[in-house]
Amino acid sequence: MTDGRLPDEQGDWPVPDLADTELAPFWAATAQGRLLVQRCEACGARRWPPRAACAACGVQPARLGWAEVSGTGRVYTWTEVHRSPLPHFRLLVPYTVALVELHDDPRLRMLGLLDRGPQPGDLVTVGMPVRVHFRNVAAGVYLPTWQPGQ
Amino acid sequence: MTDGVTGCVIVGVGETEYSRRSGRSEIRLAVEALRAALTDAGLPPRAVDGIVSYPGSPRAEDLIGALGLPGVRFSATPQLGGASSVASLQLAAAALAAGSATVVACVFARNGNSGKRIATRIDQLLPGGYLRRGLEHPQGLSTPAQWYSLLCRRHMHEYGTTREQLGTVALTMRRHAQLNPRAQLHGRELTMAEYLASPPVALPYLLLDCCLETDGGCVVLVTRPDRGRDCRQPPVAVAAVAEGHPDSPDDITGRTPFLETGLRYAAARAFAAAGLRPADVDVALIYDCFTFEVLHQLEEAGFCAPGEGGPFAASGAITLGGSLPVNPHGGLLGEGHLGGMNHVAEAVRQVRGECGQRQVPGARVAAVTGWGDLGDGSMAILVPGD
Repeated sequence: MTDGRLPDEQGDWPVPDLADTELAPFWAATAQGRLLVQRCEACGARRWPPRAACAACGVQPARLGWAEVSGTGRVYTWTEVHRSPLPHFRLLVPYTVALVELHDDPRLRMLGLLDRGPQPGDLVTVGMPVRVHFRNVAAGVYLPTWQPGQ
Repeated sequence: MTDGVTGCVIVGVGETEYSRRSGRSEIRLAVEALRAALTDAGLPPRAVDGIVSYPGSPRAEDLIGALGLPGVRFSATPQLGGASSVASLQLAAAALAAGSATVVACVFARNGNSGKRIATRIDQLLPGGYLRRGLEHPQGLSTPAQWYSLLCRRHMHEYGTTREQLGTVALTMRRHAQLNPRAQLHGRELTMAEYLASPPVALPYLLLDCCLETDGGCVVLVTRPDRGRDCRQPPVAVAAVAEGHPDSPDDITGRTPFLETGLRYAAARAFAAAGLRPADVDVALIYDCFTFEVLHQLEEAGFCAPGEGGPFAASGAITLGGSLPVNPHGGLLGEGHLGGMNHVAEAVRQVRGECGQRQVPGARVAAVTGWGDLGDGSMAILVPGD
């Protein structure tokens, strides 16, 4: 980890449940290099993270769907983690996690590791432009992480 | 009970010693703290007919079994993380108002340091498990220090809150702990240089921005005013108590406004119910899980304007002798992490006027906040009960 870059394919990465009923379509899309957010088919409201009902119009899960977003945004806030109890991450410290407001709609914010490259963490700034990078962290698991850039 | 007005009183508070290693079970800690509170109130164990236990603490069944309390007819557990201690008072008040109980014990006990510590405990207690395990753990985010550091960073960006202002909170809590022999960090002063040199945990948070993890128990006894008159101590009235939740309480990341917390709603409800304003408060017990959360809650509760928490603390306002002394006992940062039940106990003792060298002179109105999970909030306002 001497250059600050994040490795692919770590055996003990805390992977998500790809079959989780609320998130399965999201993970299926990331494996195809597409980034989705939740969209209500009744009123069109987009939402992240996804929920079991639409808070805007009250419709139930059956009418909730998905919309693709561009995968670019800006850092809204971030943390540099020096202590982690999670498997794999306890060895990866320090690493940076950013909350990114999406260009498609700044009200949509998505959390993710920030691959900060060779720069030290203090060069991460609020407002910094980033784009998504789907990182293959385990068999079939493509995690949306973020890299500096337009 | 209408609109947060409780009509109930606190007649006893008690605790064990606060330590890094209690050497005994959590049930024993709960029993000892309950016995201490009963002694304080001058009540026998069998007077307790209601038990509200903090999430993860020994349950009503545990205490009934240990002490033999066949008369217990009300039990409950709030689910607001660290805001649960103050929220316990609301459950107690509701039970008393409904006639479901006459003496309710609000119980916290935990081997929070020598047993399961926060990072491994939290996963079982938080809302939104699918969001934690699906979207946060895979990205390396899993602890309160990490979540709340995102709030702190954004606050610094929006308002210019500084590292030194966070340090002021750490130093103030530690200074207060020097006046409290029960405090875990009694006898250990802290300088700004030591604070600034402490190792990073989740930047902006350094180790000394984070509260203690503690073994211990703390119990608060709540009853009706007519019953309170027979007790050993002067009753302290719960003038009002309320809880509140941000939208959304199961997730920090998508919240708009981002810095909204449940305390914003809880404090507004509590002050309205009590017919008081923030300026009427003589002493504040703020749930200081991390330094920034003190600044944040001072704003959210209305003690200062949004964005002014840092300058407010740096002005000396939160120190004993300042305009709003905060946590004379040293708080979670200096006395110990008893889930904020120790904040309720300190508020009771401040209103009774029995706090010795850390007493806020003439304190009659104490406000206690709770902060928990991903931003749930609670507030109680305590005043003399006679």
